[in-house]
Amino acid sequence: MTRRTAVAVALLALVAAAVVTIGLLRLTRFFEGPESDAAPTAEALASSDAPAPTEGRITAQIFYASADGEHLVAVEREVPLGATPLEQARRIVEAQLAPAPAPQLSVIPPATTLRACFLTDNGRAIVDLGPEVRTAHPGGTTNELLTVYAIVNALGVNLPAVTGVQLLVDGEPVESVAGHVDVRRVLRKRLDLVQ
Amino acid sequence: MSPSRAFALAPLVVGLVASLADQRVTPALPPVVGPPADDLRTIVIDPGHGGEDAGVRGAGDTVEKTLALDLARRVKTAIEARLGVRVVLTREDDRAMGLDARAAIANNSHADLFISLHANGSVRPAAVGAEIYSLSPDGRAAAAPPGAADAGPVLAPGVELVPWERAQTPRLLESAALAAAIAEAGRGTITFGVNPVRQAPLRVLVGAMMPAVLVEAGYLTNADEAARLATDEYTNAFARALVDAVVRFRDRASAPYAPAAPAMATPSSPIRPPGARGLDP
Repeated sequence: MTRRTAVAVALLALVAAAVVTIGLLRLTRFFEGPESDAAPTAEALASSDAPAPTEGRITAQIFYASADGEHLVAVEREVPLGATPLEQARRIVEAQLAPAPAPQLSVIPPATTLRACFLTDNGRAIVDLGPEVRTAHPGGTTNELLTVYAIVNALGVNLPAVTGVQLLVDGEPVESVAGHVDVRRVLRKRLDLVQ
Repeated sequence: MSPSRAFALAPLVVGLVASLADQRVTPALPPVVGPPADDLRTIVIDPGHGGEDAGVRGAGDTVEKTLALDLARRVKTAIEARLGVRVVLTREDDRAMGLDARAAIANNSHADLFISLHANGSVRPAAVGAEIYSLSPDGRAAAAPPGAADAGPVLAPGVELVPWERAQTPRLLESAALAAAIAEAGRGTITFGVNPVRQAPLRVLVGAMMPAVLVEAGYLTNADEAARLATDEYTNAFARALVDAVVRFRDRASAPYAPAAPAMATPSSPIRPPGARGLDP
């Protein structure tokens, strides 16, 4: 092997090593997912993929039944701090679905679960509730109105970036939760329902 | 037309505005006891829930779907007897119906008014009183000029396509006025809640192309109110109040238009400008 051939082989080896290294880096990024500053998509923001919560807590307004049963009252409660807006939204909805602390009374049917939570780029929160919210709902227009807007207000009041909320039940859009309130449309917070 | 028949027709006629009032089918009217209501031809009364959907189960074994049907029958009898107006019930018996199918019956019946009857429920047993809801304006509704029809594509001369989701939009003010008329007519005989006239995004009202309200007769979760709603005396009084409200609403709808009308209709103000479609025959 001449000196020139040896140099050429060495250069080719270096180029090949560089190509393999770059390829491996790209492959690693592909499996790690998008970078944190990349535009999030609703699918990428699914709550099941959200990072683990931190130990911090924030104060959020959670909504319960008023004494007359016809309105909501806002009560400040501590909820876990979410590492991302999506994680924070999920924590707030979970707090809203949780049993009310005495002497408050929840307007959400007991054992209602949160299946998933999404945020879209245009400020819309999509909240997918378990079927219990329908099957265990006691009915009544006012009752249903308070159920729906407790969740909508909890997100709209505590997360100003959320301008509208769409509810799903068991992964599907539904006509209503209990036969009255149209939840197929995107709902905005209603503070007139709060005493 | 039976509810099931109307439901089957719904996909064909939903959203179609046939401005051919003279082609309305003349109903077989019952004997007229009181003066005929010239501006009203058909009123659709919708007993809420039905079938497997019982609605609120209240104190004393009261069930919303049963109470709603009973009250609807009383209202039908009272309106037909006093006003000589055809009344169509969306359901005559205990059967399940979709919310849009109920509004479709009102549209297909060329109804002048649509009143959905319900009983309320609350997690607080102390909650008491009747409430009347009209559809709340959302962003799209607020953008539409009051009283103006939401123009859609014209399929043929005289036939206009109206999106279902916007069918109630031109009627929002009239519906709010009908709700106020019911609260006013029931004053003194009906127990009302703290804020009896309300607005909410109620699905059953969305597709109705005429003034439409949902009436919550009272809270079945309140033992005293459930007992009151189970009496003939109170339900008959409630039916009479609804008839009086229809008369009040009709009389105001035909009152001369005042240019200085406020933005939101009140019981003492006219509710629509001249030329707007409403209760005119």
